Amino acid sequence: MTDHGQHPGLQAFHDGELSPAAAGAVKAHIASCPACREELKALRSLDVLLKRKEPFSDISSAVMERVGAAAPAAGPLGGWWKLPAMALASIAIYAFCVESGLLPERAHALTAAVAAQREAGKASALLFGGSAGSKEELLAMLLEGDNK
Amino acid sequence: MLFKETGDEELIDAVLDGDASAFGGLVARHQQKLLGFCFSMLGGREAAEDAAQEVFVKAFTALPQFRRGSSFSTWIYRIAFNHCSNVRRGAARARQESFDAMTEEARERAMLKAAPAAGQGGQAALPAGALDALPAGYRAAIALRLEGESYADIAASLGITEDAVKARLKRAREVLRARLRHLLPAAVSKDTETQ
Repeated sequence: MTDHGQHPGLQAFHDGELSPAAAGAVKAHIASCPACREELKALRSLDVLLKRKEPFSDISSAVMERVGAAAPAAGPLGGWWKLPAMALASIAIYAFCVESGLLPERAHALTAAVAAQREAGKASALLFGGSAGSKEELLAMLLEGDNK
Repeated sequence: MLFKETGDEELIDAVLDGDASAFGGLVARHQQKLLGFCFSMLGGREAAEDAAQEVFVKAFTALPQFRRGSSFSTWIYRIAFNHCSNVRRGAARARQESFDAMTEEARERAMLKAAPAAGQGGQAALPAGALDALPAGYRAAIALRLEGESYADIAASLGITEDAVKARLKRAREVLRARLRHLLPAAVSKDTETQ
């Protein structure tokens, strides 16, 4: 850096970020300031050095192939909303069934009664057996569960 | 659909309405700049092409979440910055692990090979390699500037203020001029030798 220091607007002038009025003021300064003229030349030289000289290959086909593979599973048309939507739908169907009596509340009592049975074999026979006597015992268990 | 005559917003709407081919228009329009950015961040053409493809696929997947307040290019540069930063971190980790696994002798050979032979006729730092000297945020700022992005768009892409963009560009340019002084015109490089 020279003693003069860099004009504060020089970088923005080089980058085309100044208003016309501000750019005009910097331009006028540069005309009478060799140090800032050199600095501007340095900024331009650096840009020329860093900017790519040749264009890149066209990757459109490769991208669209991958997009096509990704679209059914996770593209904008499907994917992220499906799981929450299914969960909400399941909850809504279940609530409807319970409220309308299609799915009796006793289902909860049955589950609790079975879980509370100390004799696992007896519970298994009641659930998966099928004799008339078993059904009466099951009913008694349900009523007993309600009264506990 | 004639992609050349259609704006980004319309193309995005078309994709979200079910026309995935409209995304091709966005790719065609933005790929060169995105590739240029990835090249500046990663330092190699193959790495840049891989990264750019990944970024476009991520953008396609995340398109429903794109906020219309910002431009598509700003948004995609943000995705690219995060992606390239992850790639660089992964590569650095892999290099370190590979280095740690070497024998002492192999490590010394690798270090000699990597060290620049300054003033001894060694290979001069090429522009892309010079960018390696910059932290990721500074590198990204200069990379976006090289693609012609404004201070406002650079700030939006990187999530920083415009003043921070100016400061990063200034510092990045100082570092690069010092690293590349042997490739710059004599009068221009003279000042950098005193820094």
